[in-house]
Amino acid sequence: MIKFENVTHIYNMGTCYEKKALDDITINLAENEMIGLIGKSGSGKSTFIQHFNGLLKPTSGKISIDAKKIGLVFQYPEHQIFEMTVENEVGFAVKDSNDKTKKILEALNAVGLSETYLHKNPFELSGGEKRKVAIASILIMQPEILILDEPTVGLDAETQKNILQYIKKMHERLKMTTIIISHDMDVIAEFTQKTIVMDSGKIIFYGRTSDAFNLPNINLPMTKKLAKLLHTEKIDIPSDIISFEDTVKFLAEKIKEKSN
Amino acid sequence: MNLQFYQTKSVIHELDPRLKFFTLMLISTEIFFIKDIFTQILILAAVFFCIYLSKIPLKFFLHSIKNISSLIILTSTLNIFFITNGNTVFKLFFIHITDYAIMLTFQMILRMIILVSLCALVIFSTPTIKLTDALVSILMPFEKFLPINEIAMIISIALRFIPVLSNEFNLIKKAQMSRGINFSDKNFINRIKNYLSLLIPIFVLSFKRADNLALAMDARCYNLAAKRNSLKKLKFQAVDFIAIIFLCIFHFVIKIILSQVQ
Repeated sequence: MIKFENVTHIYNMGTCYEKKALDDITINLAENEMIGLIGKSGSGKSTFIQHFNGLLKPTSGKISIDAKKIGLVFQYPEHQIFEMTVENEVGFAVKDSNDKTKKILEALNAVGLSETYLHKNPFELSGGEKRKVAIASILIMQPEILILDEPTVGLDAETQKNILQYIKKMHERLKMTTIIISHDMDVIAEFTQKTIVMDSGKIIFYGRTSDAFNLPNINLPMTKKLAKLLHTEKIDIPSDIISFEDTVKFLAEKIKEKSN
Repeated sequence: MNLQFYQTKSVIHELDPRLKFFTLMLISTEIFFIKDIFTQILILAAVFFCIYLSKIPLKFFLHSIKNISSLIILTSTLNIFFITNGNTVFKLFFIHITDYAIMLTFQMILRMIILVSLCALVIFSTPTIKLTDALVSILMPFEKFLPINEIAMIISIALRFIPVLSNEFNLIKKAQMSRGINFSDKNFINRIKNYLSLLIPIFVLSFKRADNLALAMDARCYNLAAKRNSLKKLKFQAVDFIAIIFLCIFHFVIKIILSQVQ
């Protein structure tokens, strides 16, 4: 159960810098799904996710979450690296125990890093590897809800895809509720089943991702742009097909039909 | 404390930053020499009149005063209990409070409020660039002994990056808290260790930023040795001369009052 009831958050309440960041949010999130969270900068996305693990407390309203461990991966999580070895960095938040190394390895494997990384200095890794180490240091807590604030921002296209693929794999294996903030509509279309759309502190849409792209003034993923262009050529792609793979499959079938 | 320039159009905003700087120095020295309470109240009233002229909402100043309220409370309690001169007004066991102590404490509170509101007024009404310009132009006569350009650069960079650093600090703290790092651990050693997880990233980021900034300055051909001038030269306007006249009149009045008292 992830439930927000009339949640409002006001920064610097009662001072001259008062700012309402969340405005009367009521939402009941589906569990065990990949959920996208989109909205312009300053629409309250970051404030919203910080309520999940209690970093911020609502000014008014009620939040009920039926999970003990909530992993929150901030933007540029590699900025929080401080230990001298990957092993210590990933294992920092875990108590010493016999299976600590095993846990660390599991977390590293989940983001596609091998045993050889254990004793490397995290500061000497590449940007993508650093990011993976930082994500692993959250995963080691075995969160029941995983929230990622723009997990691929500032990485090259190859690494972006790679990281998202690992997140998807992990989601399929563990079925934890995963929330991804992204400005990249292709990522949202490709990886999420449901989407939350925020605007100036309010949730203006929550539902299937394919329906989110029917909203006015929303950026479209590549596949939707293609569908729009094909529509003018009198080829209609059903509106619930939004991932790249499904679009290709659909078009391939169409072509086969025609050639037969 | 969030000390930032407040954008609006007012007489105080238009004043030459050097004049504001000078007045700040003058008044903040004076209030420690003036022992007459009536004069102090008069100065406070003048400061608040300037605040009114500046069109900056009063709550900004009250906020600044609130920020030092703990300091005010601490020093006043110390003053009240430890000054033993004068006539005793209140006595209980070892505590005895004198009228002189109350008087001094009240004056000290007044001084602090004057000082903070005046500082806040100068900072709220002057952009940081102008403040640095003013500092440079005040220090100009010492050019031969002091590396003024360097000082100006260091100050403006420092001022510029305070909010950035504080933002970053908060963000990393939150990120580490999300990993289960407890910054209020009861074990002292653990707490220090946990704070390392905050300090190391901040240092790493600061060095990186310094590096980038140096490159960016280089890319724009910044040269410390070069003689610099500014696009907008500081120049006294009519409004500044009027302000100086007012300042003189005000001081004349204070002098008369003080001579009457003595």
